[in-house]
Amino acid sequence: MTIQLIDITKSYGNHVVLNGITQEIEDGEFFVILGPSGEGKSTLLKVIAGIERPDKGKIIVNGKDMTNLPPEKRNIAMVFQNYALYPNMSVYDNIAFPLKMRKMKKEEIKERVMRVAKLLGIQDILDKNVLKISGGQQQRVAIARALVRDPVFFLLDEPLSNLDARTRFVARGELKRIQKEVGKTFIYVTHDQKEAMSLATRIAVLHKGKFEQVGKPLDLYEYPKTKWVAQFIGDFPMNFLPGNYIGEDPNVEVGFRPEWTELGSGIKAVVDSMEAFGESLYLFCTVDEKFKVILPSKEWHDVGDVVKFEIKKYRKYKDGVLSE
Amino acid sequence: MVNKRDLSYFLLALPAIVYVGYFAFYPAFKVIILSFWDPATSSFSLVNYKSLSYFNPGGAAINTIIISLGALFVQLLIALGVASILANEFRGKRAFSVITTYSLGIATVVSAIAFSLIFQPVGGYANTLLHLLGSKGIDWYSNYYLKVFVVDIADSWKNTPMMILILLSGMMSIPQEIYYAAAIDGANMLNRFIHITLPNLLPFIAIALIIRGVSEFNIFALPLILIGFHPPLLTTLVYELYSTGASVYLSYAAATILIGFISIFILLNILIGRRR
Amino acid sequence: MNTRQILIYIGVIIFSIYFLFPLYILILVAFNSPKYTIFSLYPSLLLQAPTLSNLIIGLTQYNFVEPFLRSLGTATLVGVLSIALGIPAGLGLSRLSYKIAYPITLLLLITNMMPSISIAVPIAAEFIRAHLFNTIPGLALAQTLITLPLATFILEGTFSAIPLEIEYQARLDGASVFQALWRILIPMAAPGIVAAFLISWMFSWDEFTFAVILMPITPTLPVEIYYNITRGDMLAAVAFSLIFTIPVVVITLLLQKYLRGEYLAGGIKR
Ligand SMILES: Nc1ncnc2c1ncn2[C@@H]1O[C@H](COP(=O)(O)OP(=O)(O)OP(=O)(O)O)[C@@H](O)[C@H]1O
Ligand SMILES: [Mg+2]
Repeated sequence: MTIQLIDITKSYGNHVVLNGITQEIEDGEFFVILGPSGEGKSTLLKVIAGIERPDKGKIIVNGKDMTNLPPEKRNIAMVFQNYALYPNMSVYDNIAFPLKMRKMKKEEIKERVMRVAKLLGIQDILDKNVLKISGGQQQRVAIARALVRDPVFFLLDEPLSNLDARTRFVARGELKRIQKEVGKTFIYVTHDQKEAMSLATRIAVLHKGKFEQVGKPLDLYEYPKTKWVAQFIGDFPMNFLPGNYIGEDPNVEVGFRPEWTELGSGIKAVVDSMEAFGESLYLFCTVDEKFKVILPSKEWHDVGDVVKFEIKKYRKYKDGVLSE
Repeated sequence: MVNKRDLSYFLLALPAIVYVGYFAFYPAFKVIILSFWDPATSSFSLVNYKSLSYFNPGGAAINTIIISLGALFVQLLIALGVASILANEFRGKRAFSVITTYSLGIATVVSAIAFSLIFQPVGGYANTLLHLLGSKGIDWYSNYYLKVFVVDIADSWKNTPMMILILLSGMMSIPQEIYYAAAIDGANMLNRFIHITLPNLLPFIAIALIIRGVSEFNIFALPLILIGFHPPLLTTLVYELYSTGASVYLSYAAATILIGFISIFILLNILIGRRR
Repeated sequence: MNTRQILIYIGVIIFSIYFLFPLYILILVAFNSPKYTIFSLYPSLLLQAPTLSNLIIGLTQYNFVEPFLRSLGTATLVGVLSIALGIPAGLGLSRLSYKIAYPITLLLLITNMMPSISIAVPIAAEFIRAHLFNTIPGLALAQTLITLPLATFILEGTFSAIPLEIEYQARLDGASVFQALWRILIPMAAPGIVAAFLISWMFSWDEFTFAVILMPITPTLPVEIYYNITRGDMLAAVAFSLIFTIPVVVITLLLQKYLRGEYLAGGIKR
């Protein structure tokens, strides 16, 4: 089962949100759409779900054109950021609702609800009101409701962003496990690059209405196609200096991750500030009063100190695009 | 550009639109047209308005304006007082807020009865109060100004709560910090009221006056029960012409004049609504 | 106590007397022998000779039950009509873009301000022809003009508070537009619907202008009370008034939450 997006275009008024997105998504992929807030990630999911009509373009699933089907005819499941649980129903009724809409028999509904409840560990709260359970539980209920009816694929719109850091970490692992277990395609939206890196089979970076780069998480980290992606992916943005600093063509820029450097000798930089991140320290420095760089360090430095660093590995960028 | 979703939501609103169109706008339109229709000659003319002039519609309009302005004035005064009190915290606040708003729910006819008991020339409680103060009772319906006074007081009793509620929501929208700052700057209670409360409340006062103003122009049951047809208001004039069967066309003409006045309020309302 | 508190309590006392006095007089006249109330030159402010006979005579000797039932029927019908038209309209308005919603809001707002008496007169002529004159359905159709705008604005507020995602979710779960409305949106909007119904009910219960013009022969209670006054049956009018007021007081208490300036100011806030 493949999903093909062909030239998807969508504007609100004269604000172009999606500007011709073409992409194929493979069967069983955990496909993450990553982009900053307001770039149109939710809009894209709504278009795929059939809640919004694209101005132009097609959505083809398994060779069948779905562009003009209403949402209830697509058999797609979606989990919204605010979970969109039905507040007038119990947990059980929430999960059972899609099955009731399909006129399934009572016993079968019960059996299926029990199965997903067990998968997600929410058997004990089935007759609670959905407003009276924790955020983590609500998120599971929303996922259970998506799983229960065997949809062709899943859309998830930042389903973890309303959780506290700890619960989010646990839920992330669980989501990955569930996706493996059901073996279906997940299209997952987030603005958190770390989340994307840890979940995705492939990541698509959405920028200015287009997928600026689509690739495996490691490829995106190692070979970001544009300066913009290079600075968006990673705990810290990639550093950039003109090529002449390391004897390259001065018309290209060299990009390098903080970990691709070594302190000691080489280019001079002045320390502006310092930040501890996990185990390591990072120095925020300026080279020649012009270029900002971030360097990992093992020792503390004072503001105003001068350090020297060498670049061990780098990529070349010409006009903001990877050239190799 | 109208998309498909907008269209289906518009269809949901359509029954309501058709209903008000048929039951409010069409009759209003019909009244206006027919007020210019001369049944004797089957043609359009101003004859209905000429005949109406014998019933002094100008006087009725002036009476309506006087009673409305008077009632608005009394209501605004009381509402400002009550709302300023309710904006504070004090013991018994809940009870006081019920006491000052319950009359909103009392039917117009019932409040008319209560006030007609109070202002009865014989057996009236207003006269009891005067008597207790050492004065003789008076006939509250003996002259024009007293009649206006009676209607305005009765009307204010019933309708001030609405104004209180609007002004109160306005006062609640003024941040407490401004008052603290003013108090620290040395403004006393009166100064704070004049320099902070009033200016910030002005938009709400305007809304309250317009909303209430429209209703004041339409008051009917209260004057009908308390003072009958004299002095006439626009509303009671329409009813008198209609119910005494003088000529229904005359009542159409009077009704049209009333619609004309209300249109001014509607325009004001739209302009203010636009600006916000 | 500081001056501020003293001022507050002086105000509380004065305004409380102003608002309570008429109600007190009504009750006083109802439960006092008429000798001490309407028949004395300077009636006493105190309860002199407590009696129930005013009420008993009023409710038994005069035509009370039928007007009461007519009022009940009309008010209930107005409540039903208002939510039947107001639910779809409120939902539509809450979801339409401002450009389209604004003219509709305006239309309802203007309806709300239209002078009842000016449109009641032509409606009466129309109703006579359509055999709706002096009927409960006819009166209810006219009174709904007063309640529909308010009901619609209340319901619009209620539906606006329901996130769009819930509606999307229902559709993705396989519900049609109608099923989503019936099984999800309406149950969620229940408190607003109840409020809209009760407010409409109450407005109709009190309504006088349409009632006196469109149903003058077999009238509703407010008009019957007016007839009592014009006939000089003051005690009957007082007795009717008290009974008449009870449902309104109950509903007002139920609706405390909705009796706020924002709601009553209606669409003007947009
Ligand atoms: N119904 C709408 N009408 C007009 N503009 C809209 C509408 N929905 C979204 N937009 C605009 O489209 C852009 C993309 O919105 P979208 O919700 O898809 O962003 P997003 O990437 O999901 O952001 P976030 O991470 O904050 O959820 C935004 O600028 C938004 O203001
Ligand atoms: Mg979003």
